[in-house]
Amino acid sequence: MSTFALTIDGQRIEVEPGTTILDAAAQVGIKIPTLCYLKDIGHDVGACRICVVEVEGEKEFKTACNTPAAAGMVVHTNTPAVREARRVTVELILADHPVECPTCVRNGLCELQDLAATFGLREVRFPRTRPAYPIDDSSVAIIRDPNKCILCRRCVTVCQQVQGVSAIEFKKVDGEAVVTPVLKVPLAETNCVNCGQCVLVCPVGAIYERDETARVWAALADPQKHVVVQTAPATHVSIGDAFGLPTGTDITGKMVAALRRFGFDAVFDTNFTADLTIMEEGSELLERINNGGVLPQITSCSPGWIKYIEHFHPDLLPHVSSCKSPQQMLGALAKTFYAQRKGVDPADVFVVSIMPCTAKKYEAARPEMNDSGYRDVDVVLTSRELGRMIKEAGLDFANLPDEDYDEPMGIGSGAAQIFGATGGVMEAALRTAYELVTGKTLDQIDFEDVRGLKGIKEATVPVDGLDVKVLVSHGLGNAGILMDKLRAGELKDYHFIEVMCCPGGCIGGGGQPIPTGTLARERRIGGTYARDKALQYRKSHENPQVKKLYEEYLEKPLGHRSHELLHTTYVARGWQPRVE
Amino acid sequence: MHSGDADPKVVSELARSLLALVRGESCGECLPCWHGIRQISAVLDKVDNGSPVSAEELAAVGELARTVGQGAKCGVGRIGGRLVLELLSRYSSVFQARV
Ligand code: SF4
Ligand code: SF4
Ligand code: SF4
Ligand code: FES
Repeated sequence: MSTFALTIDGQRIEVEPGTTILDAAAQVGIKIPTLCYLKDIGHDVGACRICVVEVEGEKEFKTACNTPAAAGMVVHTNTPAVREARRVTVELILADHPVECPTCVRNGLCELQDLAATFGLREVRFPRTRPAYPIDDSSVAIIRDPNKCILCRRCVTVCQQVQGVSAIEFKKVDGEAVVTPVLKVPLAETNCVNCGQCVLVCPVGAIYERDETARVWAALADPQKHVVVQTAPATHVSIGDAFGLPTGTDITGKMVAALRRFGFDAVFDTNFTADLTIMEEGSELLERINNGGVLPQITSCSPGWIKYIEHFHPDLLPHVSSCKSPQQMLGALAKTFYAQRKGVDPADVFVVSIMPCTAKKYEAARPEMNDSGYRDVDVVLTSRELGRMIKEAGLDFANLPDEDYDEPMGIGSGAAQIFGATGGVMEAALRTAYELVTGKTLDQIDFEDVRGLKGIKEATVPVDGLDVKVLVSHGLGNAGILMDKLRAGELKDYHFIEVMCCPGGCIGGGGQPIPTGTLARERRIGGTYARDKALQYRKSHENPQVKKLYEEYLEKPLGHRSHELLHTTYVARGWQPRVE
Repeated sequence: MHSGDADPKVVSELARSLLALVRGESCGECLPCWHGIRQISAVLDKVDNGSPVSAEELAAVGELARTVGQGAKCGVGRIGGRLVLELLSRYSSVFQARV
C-alpha cells in the first residue's frame, strides 16, 4: 500500500497506512505523552486520555495512541487546550491516588510519577473520591494494592489476552470502577498462576512481588545458618538493567561477587541443575519413546505453566515431565548431597534462589517440595529484589570484579544458559539427546528454528533413524492453543514440547527488572546466546560437575536417588474460584 | 431565558440532577470522565446546598468540564462536560464564588 502525507505541528510527514498519530508524531521527533497505552501487548483501549491531540476539522480531541493517521490530516499536539486537558487528567488521577512515592516499590520507576514530573505538576487541587481498599496479600508471590491502581487495565489485557488466565477483571463494584480478582475473591483463590506479567506491565505500584529481602538479610546475619544461594540462567543477563548497564549484558561474575560480599557461605549456579534437568528429562523422554509412554512429553521447569495446566488442562498432566525445575533440584541437593559433603547439618542449611520469576515463590512453597526432609528452597528472590539488596548494600555493581561460582554446583554449560530464553530447554535437550542416542558428535549445535520470539515454533531433528518432532511455545495463551490441539489428537506425531509461561521465556519473567518489554526481551535473548557461545562446555552431558554428581551420589539418571530428590508430582486443581 | 431571570434554586437543582445522571452512566473505562464528573459533582453539590465555593474551585470546574467534554472516550462524558460548560456560561450569576 502506498504512503500518504499529513502535517503534525507544522511538519509534513509521509507514513504507511495504519500508522497511529502517536507513531507518526514520533517520526517527526515529537513524543506525545501516554500512560495506559502499551504497544507490546496490543493494549490501546484509550483509558487515560493523556495522549489527546487536536485535529483540524474535528470538534473534539482525538487520542493519538489509537487513532490512525489519515491523508491530509493536520494535527496539533501542543495547544493550550491539549496541555490543559493532559495536566487536569494527571491531576485527577493523582487526586485518587495515595502519593506515597518515597515508600513505594515503584519509586523512580513509575510512569505516573514520570508524567507528573514531565508536566511540571506542582499541586493537586482535587480531593480524594475513592474509598480506601485493603491490600490483597493473599498470594505468596503477587501483592495488589488497589488504592494505587489507576485503572489503565494493562494487567487485565496481559492476564486475559497474553496469558489466557483471566484471574483479574475490570468491573464496577458497588458503584466503584475497580480491577479485581474475578468474583472479588482474594487473588490466591483464583486461577492466578503467579506469572507476574501484570507486575511488569503495571505503570505504577499497584501490583508487585512479595518482598522477602528481609528474610534473607536475617538469615545472612544468623551465625547458626549455612546460607547458600543459586542464580537462575535468565538472571545472568538481566540484573545489570537495574544498574544502568546495557540490557542483555552478561553480569554473571559480578552477581557472584556481590552475593559473596553479602556473606553467602556458598554461591551456586542454577545452570548446574539446568544441565542436570537435561540429563533427567532427556532420559525420561527416551524412556517414554522406547517403552510406549505418554507422548509428547512436555517440559516442567516453568512453575507458572505448571499451575496453569493444573487449573486449565488437568487431564493432560500425564504428558508433563516428572522432573522438578532446576531451582527445586538445586534446593533438594543443597540439603542432602552438599550438606553431607560439607559436613553441615541440613537443618542449618538455608537455600536462597535468585530468580527472574514471581511464580518460583509459589513453586518453592508447594507442600511437596520438601524431599530433602526440609523445605528444599527457603526463600526465592526475584531479580528486582536482588537489585534492591545490591543497592542497599552500596555495592558499585558495574565495577565489581568477575568471580566464579563455588564447587560442587557451580558449573553450567551453554545449554543450561539458554534455558533462560524461549526454545532454550528444547535446544539443550536436542544437543544432549542426539549425542547420547547416536554416540556421534553433533556438528551443528545451534538449533535456530526453536529460537526467537515467534509464539509457537517447531522443528524436526533426525536422531538415529527417528525423526524427533518438537514444539516450543511461550506465553500461556500459546500454551493453551497447543493444549487444545493435544487434546484433539492433533499432536500425536510429536515427541517433546517446551512450554514457558512468560513471553520470551524466563528472560521475560515476571520478576525481572522493570522495564521488561519486547525490546528488553530481544536484548536479553541476544545476551543469552552470546554467553552460550562463550562458555567452555556447551552441552549438558559434558558438564564435569554433573558427571561427578552422578558418579558420587546419584548413580544414574532416573535412578533411585534421582526419583527421590529430583522428581515430583502434580495436582489436578481445576477451575478456581469454584462456582457453587 | 436570561441568566439573571433564573431562579438560582431551579438552576442549581437542574445542574445537580443532570450531573447525577451523567455520573451514574460513567463506566470508568476512561479516566477524565470517571474522576472528572465526580469532582465536578462535588462542587456543584456545594453550590446547590449553599456551602462556600471559591473562585478557584469554579475555575477548576471549567477546566474539568473542558477536559471531559473534549477528551472523554464516549458521549456520556463528552455530553456531561459540555452540559457543565453550558450551565456555567448561561448561569454565571448562579455559579459564583461565595464565602
Ligand atoms: S505508584 Fe508512582 S505515583 Fe504512586 S506512590 Fe508509587 S511511585 Fe508514587
Ligand atoms: S500473576 Fe499472571 S495470572 Fe496472576 S493475575 Fe497477574 S497476569 Fe494474571
Ligand atoms: S493494577 Fe496496574 S496495570 Fe492494572 S489497571 Fe491498575 S494501574 Fe493498570
Ligand atoms: S495513552 Fe492514549 S488513551 Fe491512554
